Order: sequence, then C-alpha cells, then structure tokens
Amino acid sequence: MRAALRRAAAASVVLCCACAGVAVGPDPGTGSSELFERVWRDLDRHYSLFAVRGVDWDSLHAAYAARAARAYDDWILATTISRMLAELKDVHVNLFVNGLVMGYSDPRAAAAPFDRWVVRGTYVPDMRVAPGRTLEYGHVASDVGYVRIPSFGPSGLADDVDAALADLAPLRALVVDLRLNSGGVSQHAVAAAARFADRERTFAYVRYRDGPRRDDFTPRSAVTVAPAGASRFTGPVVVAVNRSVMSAAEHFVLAMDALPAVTLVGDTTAGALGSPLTRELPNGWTYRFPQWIEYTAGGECLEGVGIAPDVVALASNSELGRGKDAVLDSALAVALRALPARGPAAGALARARPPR
Amino acid sequence: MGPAATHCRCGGAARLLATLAVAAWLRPSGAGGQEPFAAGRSWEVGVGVAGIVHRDDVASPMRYGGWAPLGQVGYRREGPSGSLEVRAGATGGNLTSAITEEGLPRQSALRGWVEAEYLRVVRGRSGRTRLLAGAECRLAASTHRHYYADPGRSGARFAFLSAALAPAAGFEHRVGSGGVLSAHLSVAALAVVGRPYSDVRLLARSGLPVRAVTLDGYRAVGLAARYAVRVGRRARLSIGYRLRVERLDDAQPYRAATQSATLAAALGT
Repeated sequence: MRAALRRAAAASVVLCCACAGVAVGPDPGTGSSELFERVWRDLDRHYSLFAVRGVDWDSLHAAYAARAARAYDDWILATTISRMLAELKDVHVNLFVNGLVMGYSDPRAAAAPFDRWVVRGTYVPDMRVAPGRTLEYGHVASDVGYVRIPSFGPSGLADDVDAALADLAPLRALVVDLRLNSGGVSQHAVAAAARFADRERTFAYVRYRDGPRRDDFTPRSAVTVAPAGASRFTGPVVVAVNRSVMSAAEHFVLAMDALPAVTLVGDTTAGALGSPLTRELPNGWTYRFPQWIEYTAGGECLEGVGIAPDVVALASNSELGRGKDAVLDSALAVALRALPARGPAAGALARARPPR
Repeated sequence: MGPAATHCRCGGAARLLATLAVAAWLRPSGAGGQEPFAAGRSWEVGVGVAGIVHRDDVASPMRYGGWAPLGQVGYRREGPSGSLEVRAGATGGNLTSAITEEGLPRQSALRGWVEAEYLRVVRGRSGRTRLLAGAECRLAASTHRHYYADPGRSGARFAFLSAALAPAAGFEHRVGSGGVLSAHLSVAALAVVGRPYSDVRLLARSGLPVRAVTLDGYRAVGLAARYAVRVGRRARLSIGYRLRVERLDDAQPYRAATQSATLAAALGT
C-alpha cells in the first residue's frame, strides 16, 4: 500500500509538472496576419487618441489587413504595419524593428532650426556641462542665466538643475532652452519644473484609457507642480520652444506656463503629449502608443495642436549660419524687460537649508 | 463578442456540479472510535521553490516562466472531525520567454497569497484513511514589472488580484506510526478579480476596478499533496507539492500556473 501511494504521488507530481505549461497554453504564432491583428487589436483596446486624431480605426483595418496577409517577408509586414500606424499622425505611435524606429515623423519638428554651437559660440561663451551631464548652462547676459535641457530622459536631471541654479547665482532672470528636446520621462520634467514653482499649482489634467470602448476613459485627474529641490528660482524665466519640443518636454512647458513669472518664446510645440506605453509581438518586435489624453489647466486638449508661445520668434537656418539665433535674441529681450529694477529679484533664488 | 462569451456556459456549471457531487458522495460516516489523526494546533514555517508560468495578455502575448524562491507560514488546527488551515506565502523572481535574449524582454514577478481551508471528515474517521470535504477561501495578488526590449528599454508594471471561494476535497492517509500523506483539491466557484485595465499607473487615477466573475470567465484549480512525519512529540516536518492554475478570459486575458515544492517545519501541541 505504501509503495503504491508513493508511486501514485510521484506520478501525480510528474503529471502536474507537465500540465502547468499546458494550462497556460502555447505562445501565439508569428504569421503576418497574427502579428498585424495583434497590433491592430491592441491599439483598438488601449490607444487613447482616436477621436482627437480623427481617425477611423476600423477603416484602416479594412485597408491594411489584406496587405499584411500578403506580406511574404518581415520587411514588407513591418512597412505595412508602420504605414497603418503612421495614419494616426502621432509621433508617439511607433513600431521598433531590429533597432529601427518606424512610424510617423512630424516634418515640422525635423525642420525646426536650432544650432547649439551658435548658442555656445555667440550667446553663452561660459557654457559648461552640469555634473550629471544632463544639461548645459552658462550666462546669456551678465545677470541672466541660460540652461539648455536636451532631454528629460536622464534620472539625475533635477539634481543638475539644482547644481546649475546654485552655480549661476546670483541671477536676475533665466532662459531655459528646450529646443530639440523630444521628451523623456514626465516625472523628470515635473521635477525640473518644481525648481521654478512658487507654490503648488495644477498645470494639466489627464484621462487614461480604461476600457475596451474607444471612449472609455478615467475621470480627469489633476497634475500639479509644487516647489521642490535644493535650489529654486522664482524670478523671471523665459522658456525657448519650437516645433521639435514634444512629449515630456511639452509636459514641462505646461508646468512652467502655469507659473506666473514664466514667458514662452519661440514657435508652437509639436503637440504630442500622450504618454506612450510599450508592447511586444511574438517575433520580438515592439511597438508603442499613447494611453492618455492630456488637457491644459483650462481644459484644452493640445494633442496635434501644440502649445503656442507668448512671444512668437522664428529662427532660420540662414540666420543661424550667420551666427544669429532669433529665438534666443527674443528670449533675451523678454528676460531683460522682465528684470527687476536693481539687484537680484527679491526672493528669486531660494536655497533650501541643508539638513541638520 | 468578448472571449468569455465564446466559452460554453455549461462548462463552469458542470465543474461546480461535479465538485458538489464529490462532496455529497463523501458524506459523513458518523463512525467513532480510535483517532489516528492526532488533534492539536500547530504553527508552520516553510521554504521552497516555485515554478511560475503565466501569460498576461495586457503586458505581452508571450508566455513567461521561471523559478523563484518561496516562503510560507501557516497555522493548522486539527481534530478528529476535520481541520482548519490558514496559510500565507510569497514568491518572486525573474521570468523569461521564448523571445528573451540577453536578459530582455523579461518580467520581474512577485506573488503573495493568503488562504484558509476548512475541511470536515466525511468518511474514515476511525481508520487510517479519511476523506474530507469543505471549502477554501483564497486571496491572491500578483504583480510583475515587464522590461521590454525596445530602444528605450521601457518598463511597465501590471497587476492581478483575485479572491475566490472554492469547494475543496481532501484525502489523508496515515503512513507508519507518525506519517500522514495528504492530497487536497479545490475548484473556484465564486470569485472577484481586480485588475487595472492597463498598467498599474491607472490605480492612482481610477482605483482598482474589482468585479465579480462567472465560472466561465474565471477558473482556478488548486491541487496540493503533502507528506508529513512527526519529529518528537511536538514537531512535524513535511514536504509538499502544490499546483495552482488560474485563468481569466475577458478583454484582458490572464493565465497562470504555479507549482511549488516546499519543506516545512511545524511546532504545536
């Protein structure tokens, strides 16, 4: 009896081990139609901007599914899927194939003129790189600082803003240059904006897609910026923007725009504020798409529209070739106009007390 | 039409009826006499290894699996007429899939559970072998961070919670002077599941959407086998094997199978 029980127990364990994988089922196939349907269905259930972009997603399925089914190699399939995604005209919707980024590219963003060497050579001769190498800074005038943030991707950005503000002090005004900043992590953007906040302010509202219907969204929830950081500057700040500023960088622009001492100078931003999430396919490709809608504090959705500057200034490649940056000229002029009459702006640079 | 609707409704009902039929067949014997299964209370601590295989369709269409350490604690009250056992455990580790290369994509998974099982002896109260029937209540939470192999090396965290009430049946056989070989089976009959529609960022915005699910939409089966021997008058050592399979079929399908082997020590009266 005992031996029989042991044999039965051992057999049961072996059987169960084999069954565990069976219960979950095999991996899905990698046929062209299966991959296409996976991408189409995933966006259908989770993409947040169909209505905003004015796209009939069902009609795109009708247009591209047959082409995908006929794709006889990976490249044709990838091209077919990426063309379907590009119809959304959303820079946050991409297919990643073997390191290649496929999807919509905003031609206005690619053509936005900017030359950091002109800035460095003509306007900010004392340019230096922050300790964490996430930004560069210097003086664009004797008491006007300049900080260029090329990306909100690196995690040490807020610390570098602290270091730059401390190093530039005393300051009476500051230019923050975001041009060519294509985004990064929204939390990093808000953390950087917190260095300029005078008090907690709501600068945006977001709604997440939360159901299979294309109009299933969470209620609006407020996104705020509140003072934080070892160094803070609450004096006049000019933020230089253009069409290349997108995603988390636009999140930063919205946060800064909510502050009373901030002026936006340059061109309208890209209008791509959706927070993308990534997915993968059974053949190893990945793709991403936004799952939220972001609104301004006034309730306006700027997706596909962009954030308009307070002062319009357009740079041109010909002027940049001659060492002139019209956006930075305007930003400097606005900053100088906003300067307090004499001395540092009262309470402008607040340095947090070190911990005891 | 959602995936849940494609399943035959009679499947879940048949499982419930089968479970109830087993419970009815295992009716109380009412026999008295000797008590080979010692009454008492005990506290148990165990460690082991868990093999996790799951597919969270929101995170990926791929099956992710791997082995992970497991720890559990338990309390058991046992008497001649039945037993009550409360267990809590956790396991966590890295899971990979068939498309994982050089560590990506992968999932970092963490699971925890609390379960209470009450079984009454329905046959064999006086013999070496007894059959039990009762119910198991289980609360389980699973979360995993998915690391994608995209150029940005992006990641997102996903979660799945379930609370289920399951009819349970047990078999216990006394081996030698102090050993007990046991096997338990439970099949979920009532359940609620909680799951963010997408990744867990939604939890901060809309809370955790919790909903009751039908037997067609959610199925969970647990199977456990254990061999315990007495060590001295108050201690017991046991080796155990557990298999748990759960499957949610709706707009966000989720399937998981977890099997574990544990070595546990118990002290009690």
